[in-house]
Amino acid sequence: MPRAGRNGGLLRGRTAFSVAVAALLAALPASLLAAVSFGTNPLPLGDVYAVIQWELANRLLGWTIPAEWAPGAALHDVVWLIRLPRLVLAAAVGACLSLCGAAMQAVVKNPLADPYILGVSAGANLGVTLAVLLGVGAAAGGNFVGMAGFFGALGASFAVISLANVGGRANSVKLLLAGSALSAVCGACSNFLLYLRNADHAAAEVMRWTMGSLGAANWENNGVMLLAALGGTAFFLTQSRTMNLMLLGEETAVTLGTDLRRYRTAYLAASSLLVGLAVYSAGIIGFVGLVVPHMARLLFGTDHRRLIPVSVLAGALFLLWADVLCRTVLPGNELPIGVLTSLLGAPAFLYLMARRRYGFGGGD
Amino acid sequence: MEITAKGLEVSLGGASILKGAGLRVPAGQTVGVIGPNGSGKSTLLRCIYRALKPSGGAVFLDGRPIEWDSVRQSAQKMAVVAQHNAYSFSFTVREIVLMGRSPHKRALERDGPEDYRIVAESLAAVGLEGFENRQFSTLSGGEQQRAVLARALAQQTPCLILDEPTNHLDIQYQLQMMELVRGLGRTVLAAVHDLNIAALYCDALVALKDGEVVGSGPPRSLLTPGFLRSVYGVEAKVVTDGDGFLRILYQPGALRAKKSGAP
Repeated sequence: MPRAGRNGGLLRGRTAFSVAVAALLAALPASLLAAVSFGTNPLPLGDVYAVIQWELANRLLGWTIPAEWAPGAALHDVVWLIRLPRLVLAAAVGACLSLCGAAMQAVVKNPLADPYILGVSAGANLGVTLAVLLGVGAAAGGNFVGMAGFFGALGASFAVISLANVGGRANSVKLLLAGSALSAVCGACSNFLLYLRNADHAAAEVMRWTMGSLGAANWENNGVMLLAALGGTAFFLTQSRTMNLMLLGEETAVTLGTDLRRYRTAYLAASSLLVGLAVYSAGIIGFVGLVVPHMARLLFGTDHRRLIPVSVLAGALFLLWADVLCRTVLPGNELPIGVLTSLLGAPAFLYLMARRRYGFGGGD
Repeated sequence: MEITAKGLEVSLGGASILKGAGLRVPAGQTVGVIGPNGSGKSTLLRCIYRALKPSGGAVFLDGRPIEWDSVRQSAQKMAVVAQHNAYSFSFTVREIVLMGRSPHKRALERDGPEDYRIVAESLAAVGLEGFENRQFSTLSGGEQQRAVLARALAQQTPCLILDEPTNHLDIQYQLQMMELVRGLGRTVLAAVHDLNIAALYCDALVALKDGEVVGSGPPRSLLTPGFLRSVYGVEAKVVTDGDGFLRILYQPGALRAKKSGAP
């Protein structure tokens, strides 16, 4: 397809974009309903949907749930308290991570940026470790672990940007080096703390964060995550024009009437909030934020007005199905989601890299 | 709109790049900034288009200091074609040119038919019709330069600032670009490398050397053999051809003769 590389994306035109967004929007609830039938114990499809129907009828219309499907029944609890919240969490986290990936790539004007690679996730992880092990911030209240993750992410993102700016303007190599250095430092601190405390439950807890797991999903936290995903998407959708200008660089943006500095800070703060929440809910899940926006770019071009909705929806769907795969690929065992996304994402990333025509949206 | 710069001073990394340079571009005129490499041409322009804040001096548009305006307001008054336009993400040509409309847009405002009409006109003006869906990064250097000029035209500003706009261009497009820019009737300030192009298309020239203005005036009175020798260190003949155009003819071996100390 020689034409493809010469144009904004493989799929061009307003119609293709609208159709794709509509299809992705429809695929999301459909996937939720399809994916909820997968699990370690095969459950009859009719029963699975009966539980969901009765719960929805109860919540929306106030109907009383028959005892057979009510809370407390094993079937109800598996479907409504374990499987469904987990899938909803997967979708919300996937959406957040892809969104942050796209935002970070714009902020640092570098196609290699992603929350994971730039050390932000590791920062969030250190925050979580501090909170779990030492109770740092316990005074902040019940959700203090999440707060710690948030501040860890925020600190790391600003640290990477300022480290990369030491001794001249940041470039892609310096950003990557600063990101990996900071990741290493944060990882070492986390490990040191774990080693010092030598508490088995804490080690397992922190291990769960670093490999990613959606197993702890519950509806209360899902509410926060969904709000974050929707709010983040809404915010960045209003920023598409500025994000486009960001990719042209500081000087060009000034000549086009936008001073990027305050926007950069705002985007970093918003991304850190989303990544912090995602780490708190599901630990570190790599490569989603890197690969999904690139796939969206490959299909629809670099314009953020298209890139953001497509990335968010595709990220949600990707992580949702990745979670299904995690639970089914090893019989009787569960693959950590972060392991799976890295296993899938790294080859996809290498493929994009090797594919010269794509060139991450164009060369120097 | 008149552009005035007074006493601009800039130091970068301890080196003094501009030492009190100033200039004036009367409304509707085309003024060229000339000078050898490293004389501070780009730095002077960057101060004027607000990419760089001078440590001394000020820039005025119609007598109003540019700092009094937001960068958005400035971008509604002057558009810029800079020298370096490599982007590490690729956009289509249409997307690049549409960004010229952004100073006129509020945060959530969408691009309307009017914007697309302006984009099409701007592309036609630079001879890039039919390039809308091409990826910017796959264009040749000259095509990229023209696409960026189209973006500046789409800004619909009274002033245009061009940093060596004819770099990378074939001679056909060099002449076309300068003719186009002149024909717009806007206030134009351009750093120009080629003295013959400068002589053909500029109403007045400002010559920089080592961060200072060493001469200014209409090309015919400024560009003399003695001036070229002192600013560029070259030997040249300046003649008026049969059609009345000013031509600078460089002399081979002039530099060598000078270096060997010949009187």
